[in-house]
Amino acid sequence: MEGSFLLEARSQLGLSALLYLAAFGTKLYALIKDKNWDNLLFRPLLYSGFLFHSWGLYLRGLSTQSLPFSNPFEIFQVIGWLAVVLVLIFRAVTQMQLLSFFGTGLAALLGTISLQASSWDYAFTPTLMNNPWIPFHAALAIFSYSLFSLAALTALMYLIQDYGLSAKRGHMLFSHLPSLKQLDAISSRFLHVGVIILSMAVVLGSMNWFAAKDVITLPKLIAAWTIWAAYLFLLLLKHYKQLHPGVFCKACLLLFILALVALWPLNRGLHARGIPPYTHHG
Amino acid sequence: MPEVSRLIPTMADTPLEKSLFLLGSSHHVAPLHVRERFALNKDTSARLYNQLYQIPQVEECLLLNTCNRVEIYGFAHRTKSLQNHLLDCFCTTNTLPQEEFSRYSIWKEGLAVVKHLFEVVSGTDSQMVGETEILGQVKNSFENAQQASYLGPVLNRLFQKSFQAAKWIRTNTDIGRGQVSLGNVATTLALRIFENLNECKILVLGTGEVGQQVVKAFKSRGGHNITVASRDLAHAKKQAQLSEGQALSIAEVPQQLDSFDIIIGASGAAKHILTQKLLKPILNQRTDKPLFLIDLAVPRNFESSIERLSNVYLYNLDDLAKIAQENQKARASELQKCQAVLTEKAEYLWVNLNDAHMASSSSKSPNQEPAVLSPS
Repeated sequence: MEGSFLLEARSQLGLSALLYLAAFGTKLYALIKDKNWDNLLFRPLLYSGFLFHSWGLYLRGLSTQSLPFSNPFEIFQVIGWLAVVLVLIFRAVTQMQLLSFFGTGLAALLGTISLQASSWDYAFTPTLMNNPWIPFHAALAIFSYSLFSLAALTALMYLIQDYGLSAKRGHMLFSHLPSLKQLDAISSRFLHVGVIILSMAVVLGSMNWFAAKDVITLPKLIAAWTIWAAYLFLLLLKHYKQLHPGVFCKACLLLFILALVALWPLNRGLHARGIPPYTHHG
Repeated sequence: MPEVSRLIPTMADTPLEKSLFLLGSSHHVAPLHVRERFALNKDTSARLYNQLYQIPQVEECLLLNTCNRVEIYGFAHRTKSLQNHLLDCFCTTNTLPQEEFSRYSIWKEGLAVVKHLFEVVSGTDSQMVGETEILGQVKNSFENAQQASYLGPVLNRLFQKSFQAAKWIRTNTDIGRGQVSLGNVATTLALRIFENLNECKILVLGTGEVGQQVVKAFKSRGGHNITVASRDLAHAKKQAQLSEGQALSIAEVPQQLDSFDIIIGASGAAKHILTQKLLKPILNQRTDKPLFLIDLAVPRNFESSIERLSNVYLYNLDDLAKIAQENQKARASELQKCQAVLTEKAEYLWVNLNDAHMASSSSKSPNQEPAVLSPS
């Protein structure tokens, strides 16, 4: 029963990644070709992708009887899902153009990467969730990652707009993008909130380190503190106007990629202890 | 309108001694760095007019000097040496090597001149196809030449008809729809940098017409914090009053540069007003604030190497036109329609001009001296 749920969850998540990819491709084609019909396809594809994504994560939680962020596969999936939720809310509140387009791109990318890396999807250790502070720490950390993912998205949008202006291009894509000032301000705010949430997560994680040394290894703790310190340093540089917006945006993107890469060593300890991947259950 | 194609005399078969001519250079044949060397100022324009009038073959002439073109329109006895005389006149007045101007210039005669002028005045030959500023600029040049008595019946009629043709095109076609003015392109770019123009401080260098048109566009999109700088503070104050802004002397600009977000260069200064050396320390003080520079002047007001500085976006006339052209694909069929109508109108006028003036005696009185040309 658990195995069928897991398989079904993976296929739902795979379908959602495909739908996000289709939404992204449709919008990209419409932008390149300067067409206006894209919303007829883009939104249904985005919403159905989101529905399958949510259903897949629900089935996943049902099968494991826990919050679905115990291995890199699930963490990538949850970060992608939270990013889409935040994009949908933020888009509705601010009417910011093209944010949902870039959001589908990110969700498709995270979904595809996590589905391709079958070794990431290993069984979690049940002792992990015995202490209620641990899942709370994990939930906060993952939420901060989704905020960093939006900071990285808006930073990417800034760099594209900056390229368009520097290369003196007036294509539809550039004219639909928000202004540099708006993108700079929004990525700073996402980073700001992300750092606050990650600080809480890191403090909680550190407080529980002594009680759960087998789960929270020292390398994991050091990696978490390093990522937090890097984001805090970037935020301070930005706050004291020591960085050009372009450099800040490049740093946002790079740090997010590094933070995602760091998820692998962060969770490697569990896998190294011989816990078999879910994908091998059959 | 009668069918005119069979009536049109060509240069090869016409027995007439006089014809229209055009010598000039524009964005079609010369890049911006070359055009800025060809540009005429008040003094060189007046000297060139006087020299042209000394050429015995030339009966009527008009100088059109805009950001994107320098053109001499005339009516003269056709001789083999006319083109060389005109080239010599232009290059001597503007201290240019003849080979350079020949390389980047065009020469037209007869009906081709009429067609060309119609396209210029209607904006279909402009760098930003469909723009309307050119009509005002040609009208100004026409009035100046008329006041100074450089015009006669042929050019008078030719230009009047070109204004009518431009009006027809503007009223009956969609060539001017959408983003086709410098002002519109500049404001659209500014909105890609700044969220809204309300909070932007705008500095305009110079009190020229093109700069003021861009200021108008900025004002219509919410930009109200405007400062006008000029070498002549009284001029600046007068223009600032019209724009409901503040005035500044050009000499004071370097001290106040750091407070501006958008700077429009529209001054007739012969040297660069803003240089990389001047801007670099200012940009270090405003790390997180972008700076938008729009150089509408020919010769340019801003050193081109400024665009290498980070957080600075520098656009000159060619760059703005390139952006406008990217949005003009939709108007390609409209342009063809306009060109067909203008050709028909030009051919009709050419037949009438031939009938009325080409074979007539000289309209340039031997004793007639042109008046001193008023500054444009």
